[in-house]
Amino acid sequence: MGLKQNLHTLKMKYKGTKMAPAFNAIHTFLYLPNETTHNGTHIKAADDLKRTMNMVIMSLVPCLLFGIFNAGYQYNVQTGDVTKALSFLSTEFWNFSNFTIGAWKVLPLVVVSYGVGLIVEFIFAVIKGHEVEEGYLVTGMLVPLIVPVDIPLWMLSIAVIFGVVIGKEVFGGTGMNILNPALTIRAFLFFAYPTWMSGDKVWVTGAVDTVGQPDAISGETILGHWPKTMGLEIGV
Amino acid sequence: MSKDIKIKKGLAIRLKGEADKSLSNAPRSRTFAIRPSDFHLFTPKLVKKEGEKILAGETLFYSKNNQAITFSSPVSGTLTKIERGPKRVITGLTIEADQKDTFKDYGVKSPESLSSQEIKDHLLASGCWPFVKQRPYDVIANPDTAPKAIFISGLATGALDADLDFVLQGKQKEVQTAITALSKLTDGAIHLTVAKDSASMLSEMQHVVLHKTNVLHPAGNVGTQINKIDPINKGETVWTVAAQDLVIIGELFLTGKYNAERIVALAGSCVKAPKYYKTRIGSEVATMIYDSGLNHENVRVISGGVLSGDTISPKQHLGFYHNAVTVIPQGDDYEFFGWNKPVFNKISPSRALTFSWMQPNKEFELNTNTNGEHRAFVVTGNYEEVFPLDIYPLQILKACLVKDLDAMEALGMYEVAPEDFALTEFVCVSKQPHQQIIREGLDLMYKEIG
Repeated sequence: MGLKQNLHTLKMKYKGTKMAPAFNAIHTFLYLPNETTHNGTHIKAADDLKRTMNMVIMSLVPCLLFGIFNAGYQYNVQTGDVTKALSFLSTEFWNFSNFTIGAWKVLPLVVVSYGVGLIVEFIFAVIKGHEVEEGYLVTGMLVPLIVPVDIPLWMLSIAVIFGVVIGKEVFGGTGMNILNPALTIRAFLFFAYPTWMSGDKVWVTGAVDTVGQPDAISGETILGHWPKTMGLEIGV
Repeated sequence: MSKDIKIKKGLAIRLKGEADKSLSNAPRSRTFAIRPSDFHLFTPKLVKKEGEKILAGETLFYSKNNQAITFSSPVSGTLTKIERGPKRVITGLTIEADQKDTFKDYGVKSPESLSSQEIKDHLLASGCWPFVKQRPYDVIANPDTAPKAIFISGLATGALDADLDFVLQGKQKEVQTAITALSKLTDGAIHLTVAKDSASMLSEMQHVVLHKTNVLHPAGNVGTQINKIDPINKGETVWTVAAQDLVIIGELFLTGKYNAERIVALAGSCVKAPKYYKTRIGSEVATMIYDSGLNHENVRVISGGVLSGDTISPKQHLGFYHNAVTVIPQGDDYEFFGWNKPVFNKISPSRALTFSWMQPNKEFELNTNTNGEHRAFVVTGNYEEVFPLDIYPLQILKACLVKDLDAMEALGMYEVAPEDFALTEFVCVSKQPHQQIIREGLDLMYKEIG
């Protein structure tokens, strides 16, 4: 097979060089490597870390889809375009408008999270001369799920770089970290940009910019309110 | 006090190419070899010189650390070649065999009438002592210590292992004699474990405490049995003897000869006609392989089983402790999108788009591919699912890696042997060499504490 043979030739060419981990990351994404066992157990189970992490990502896809619909739904409820959904399955929630608005806001977060995180991973793999680890594939999916939907992408990039470097790479990479990289990213954002991370409005697209609608109304107590609105017949 | 064992954590690995229960005589090998690396941590001191004649059962070399422990030649012939590695360490001894064996006579003895010391001396002098191994450290037993018990596993549960019931057929007398002799070496019991529903003749043995177990691998590993029956604490020693070696020990007492004959299972998906062969320790495996033929060109030949055996070439020889030769396909090829596509033809303990759990009785044809790259340890919890010992596997492996002797001791390093970690190594998603890590950990302990 042409592609397989060509990639093998390239692998041999890159072997031992600085760029080998970066090349191998792409190569092993296409092909399960041709490594064989030595002494010890001569056969191995089918699972490797890539497969394990891939399962986690696949399990996260429903969460991501729900998050996309929810981001759009919250926006539409806030602007008054949609009435409140009465049940989980109602069409007020699962509709195309919610999906497009949500996807427009959420997918850039996914792209930036994966893009920036994997660049950091590749750089560290090349510097340290070890293979690119799969741990970030899960982190990269978790991050869009736990940050406010309106967060500026530059903020997210800085947080991802911080989280991957301090949360994981300084300890030696996947399996050696004592912090959870995704939560490190969240914590970094919380302490570095608290105004973007606190309150109830940050979780709804565009809500921060909405003006004119009061958050709450303060006034007399209900005991003062009743005499004005109701007749005396229900009084004492 | 018999104690039945039930192993819940484990993994049954079913492979194609199980040995058919028929016995053939392997063609006599021209050369025989003993690899001192089979005797871990023992440095050989040669008794014979290159070119010298040697009888079957005559001492070939002894241990540098303990001169009483001797190693005998499995055949009569001429010592033709002494291979040496770096620092002139002896790596192999090749004997060109005579047409027919002439045995050195050690005299017929009845173990009933011998004292403990006499039995020990007899085993040491005849070269049968290396069959007795000890825990901790999983090395040849130190004859100066008194073990608290001796363990014999009467069943083999690993993939493609030789069936001990078949191998020991008709050897009742030899096995009983060996057990009687061994029973004099310990104040404790001889624990013999057999399969729950087996009609093995081992269950009729005298002088033993008989245990029964279910057959989920690793129930047949002697380490599992020790852990479940009588765990080892600090300062205690336990000896283990493999069931097939009892035949050789028994024959020594009954006939006065060190007869290194052994029935070996030739198995694996690459073997055309997998079956049992009668051969000798150290014989060239090619004699068996060419007799039964291979159906594959690119193969891995293993002296021992697929989980803990040694890689050898067909020109090399059967290991001292092995009773199986396994031939499986090499897996040095790439697989397109092998990491994420659904897998039906490989074994997996998980259900990560792997479907071996739906086919519990299917026999798989596994090759030597690692199915993934080497990674750092990641906590997945799958070691614990296949590891029945009352020990934390991940923690003890990490303690070995960082050479933390206190942690190793606290986590139960005295009890384990590399083969106990074969299953965790098999299921490891990080493709770490568990058995090697444990071996190096044990070596370090032996050096520092032992």
